Amino acid sequence: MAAAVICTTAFEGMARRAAEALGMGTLPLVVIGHPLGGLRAEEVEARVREAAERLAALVAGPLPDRP
Amino acid sequence: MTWRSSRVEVEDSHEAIQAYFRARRWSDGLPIVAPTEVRVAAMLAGAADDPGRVIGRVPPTWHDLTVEKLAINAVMAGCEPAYLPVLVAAFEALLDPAFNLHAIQATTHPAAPLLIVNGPIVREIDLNCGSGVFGPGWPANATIGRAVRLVLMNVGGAWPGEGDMATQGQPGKYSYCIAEHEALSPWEPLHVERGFARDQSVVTVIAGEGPHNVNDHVSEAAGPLLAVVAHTMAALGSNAKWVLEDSSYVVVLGPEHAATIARDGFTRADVQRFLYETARLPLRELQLGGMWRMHDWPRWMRAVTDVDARLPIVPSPDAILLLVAGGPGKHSAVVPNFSVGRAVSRRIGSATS
Repeated sequence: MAAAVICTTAFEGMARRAAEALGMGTLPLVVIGHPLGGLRAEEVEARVREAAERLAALVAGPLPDRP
Repeated sequence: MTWRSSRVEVEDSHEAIQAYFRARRWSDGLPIVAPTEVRVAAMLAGAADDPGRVIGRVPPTWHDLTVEKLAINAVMAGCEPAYLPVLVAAFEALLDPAFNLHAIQATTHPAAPLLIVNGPIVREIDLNCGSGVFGPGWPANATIGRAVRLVLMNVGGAWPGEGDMATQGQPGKYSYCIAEHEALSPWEPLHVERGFARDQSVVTVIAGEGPHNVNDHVSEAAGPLLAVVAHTMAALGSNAKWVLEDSSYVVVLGPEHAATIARDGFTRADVQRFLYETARLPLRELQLGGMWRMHDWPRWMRAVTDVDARLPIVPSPDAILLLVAGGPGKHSAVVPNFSVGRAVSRRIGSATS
C-alpha cells in the first residue's frame, strides 16, 4: 500500500532525518507550503489541492521531485 | 575499562577543546568540561551500574543511550559523580513511553523536561529547594539539568530548528531541575503522593513551560490565595487544557504561601480540589483562539453549548502536581505541561544493571 507523510516545507528536514533515523530513508514525503495553521479557508483549500495532487502522483507511480 | 565510545585526540588547551566540541555541535553553546577517560571513569564510579547498559533510545535520532554516554555528557555538563544516579533515574523516566519524549523533543511548543527531586538525596548532593529554586547558583541543580539537555542534543539530536522545532524555546532548555523543600511543606511530599516511601529518593519528570509567577502579597486565607493561583493557571495561551486527558500542572507553592493555606486546615487534596474546581475558563473565552477547534476534549465537554460554562483545564484534581519549594517571600509558581504526555517518576538508585 502506498503511504506518505504530509508535512510543510519548514518541517521537511526534520521529517527526512526522522525517517532516516528509523531506517526509512526512502519514505515519500508530500511537502506542502508552510504554514498550515492560521490560514484562511481559500488558502487551506490551496494546500489541500497541493497535497492531493502529490498524493495522486504517489499512488499513480513514482513520486516526482517536489515542486 | 573497555570503552564503547570512540577516543578522539584534541590539543590540550581550553580553546582547542571548546572549538572541537562546538564544531561538532557537541554543546549547548556554553563551554563544556572535556570528557577525558579519567573524568568519565570517575563519573561512572558514582553509580553502581553497567556502563554498557542501554537505558533506552533517545528520539528523534533514536540513538542508544548507554550509561557510559550519559556519564560522558554528565562530565561535559560539570556534574559530580554523586549526581549520576539522579540522571540514570531521570532518563529511565524520560524514556518511558508515557512521557512521550519524541513529541517533546520535536514540538514547536517550548516544553522542556522539568526534573523534580525528592527524598534524602536532595540533602546528600546539596540540591537547592529554597531561595531561587528555579534559578542559578547551585551546582547540583545547574549541572544535572544541563546534563539532561546535553543528552537530548548530543544523543537525541535535538538541535534547534532541526531535531528540536521549538518556535522560541525557553531558558529551561538549558537547565530545569528543582527539589522539593520537604521540611517546610505542611503536606506529604510529592513522591509520597505518587506512591513512594518518604525515605526513598525519587525524580519526577514532566514536560513543562517555564514557571509562571504567582505574586500574592495580601491574601491572608487559603481561599483568596488559591484563587490567585487558579487565575494564573487558567491562561488561554498555555497548551494545557487543549488535550485534556494529558493536561497537567505543577504548582510550586512558596513556603509562606503553603503555610497560609495550611493554616486554614487545607489538606493536599483540598488544594488540588480547589484548583481543579476554580482554575477554569468559560467556553466563550476558549472560543477566542489558542487551539480552539484543534482541541481534544472528552465527549461531555464537547457537548457543552452554554458559552458561560466554566470548563476544566485538567482532567482531575490529581493532575495537579503540588509541591513546596522556594525561600522567604510571597511568590509561588505554576508550570503548565505540554499536554501530550504525562509526568513519570522513578526511584533513584534502583537501576537494574
